[in-house]
Amino acid sequence: MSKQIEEQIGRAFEYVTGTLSSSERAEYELLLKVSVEERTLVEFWQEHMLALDQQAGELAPAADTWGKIAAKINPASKSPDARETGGPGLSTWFAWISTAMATVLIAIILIKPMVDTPNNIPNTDYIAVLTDTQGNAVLTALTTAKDNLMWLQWEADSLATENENSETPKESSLQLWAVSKRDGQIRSIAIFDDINSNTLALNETTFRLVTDSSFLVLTREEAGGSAIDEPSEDLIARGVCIRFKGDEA
Amino acid sequence: MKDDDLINLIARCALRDQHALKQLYDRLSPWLNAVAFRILKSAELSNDVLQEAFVQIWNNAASYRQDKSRPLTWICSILRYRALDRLELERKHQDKRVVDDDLHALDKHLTKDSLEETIHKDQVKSHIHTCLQSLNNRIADCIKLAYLYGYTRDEIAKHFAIPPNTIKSWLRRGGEKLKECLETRI
Repeated sequence: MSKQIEEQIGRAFEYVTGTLSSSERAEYELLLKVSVEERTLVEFWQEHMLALDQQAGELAPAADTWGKIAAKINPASKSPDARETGGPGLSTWFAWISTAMATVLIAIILIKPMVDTPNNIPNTDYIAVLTDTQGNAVLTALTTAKDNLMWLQWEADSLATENENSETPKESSLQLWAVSKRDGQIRSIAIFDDINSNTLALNETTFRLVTDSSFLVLTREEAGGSAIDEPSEDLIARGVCIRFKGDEA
Repeated sequence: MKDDDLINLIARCALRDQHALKQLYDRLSPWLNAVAFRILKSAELSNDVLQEAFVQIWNNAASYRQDKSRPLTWICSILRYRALDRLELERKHQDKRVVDDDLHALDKHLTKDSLEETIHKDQVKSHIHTCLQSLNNRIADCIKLAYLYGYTRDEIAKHFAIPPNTIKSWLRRGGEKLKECLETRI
């Protein structure tokens, strides 16, 4: 084993055990942001050392701890137990929450009636709200298991802003990708030349890509889609893909 | 709680579902609070850290990658790093921590029964216990004192009356041997 590898293993181990000095730790955390290799080592140790924590037992938290958490994640709320709220004066971050929630609601309210008869809500759908780096919803994708269709709701305003900021030539396509939750690989689902498509028929393969995905990602590519079948760095939006149960609406 | 359930709750947190965070909190907070308390030795501080950790879980839920780590590992790591940060801050005001008490507690931590129970519950999870037992006792104690109770190299060095650099070498050597041992068992 080379000295360098020994050093990498040792430093990752000490980071996870917590014995790096504060300056070493700060330096290492910077390295973790750019080095996949170091992150993989840290993940290795975290995964294995967890077994030691699992014998910690239990200690009931203070009665007001949850209230404090709820107040922090939802600063506009008067009541610590209040659910999602909206209102003027919220931070950009909270505005993102509202936008995302609103988009989910729009997806549920506007798209669901198109795909369901009123009394026939599918048992399982997959929903992803793809947002840009500012937290603005760009695309909501709802996949129905019943008919292998993806229903698309584009947010033209958000996309227009993205277009203005893009350095990619106007002759371009949008490409939707799925990030697999099994192997982390990114695979293409569809290429769009415009945002007029409201539905996308999925075949068996692309349907599985959706159901197996942790994230959906939208990128801008050269016209006709990525030639190398890999997403460009022109990331427009991304969103968690979750299995959505009808009874949660 | 199964991994799939936790993954689902984290995904729902990413979609800003507070009810999902509350479910995570209800299921995991007593255990996480115990992990934080073991490091901080103060209920007030462990509750503060628990609070910080759940806010971070909420804020970072969208960045969780299940292909990279199990949900429990991700959640517990967030809590542990917040607890270590807090411990570092508090060290300036705390009386010197006594290694002896925690060293004594280590004997109870890995009783034969608990080890066997762990092995029975989850073979993979037990590898770290087996591999720790294969190390020199003093090195294994160093690792456990650091990981479980948050002791620094200096604090451990003082207890063993040896230079901090020797503790660093023990930890590094212990890490290498543990990795070798774990890799042969995966």
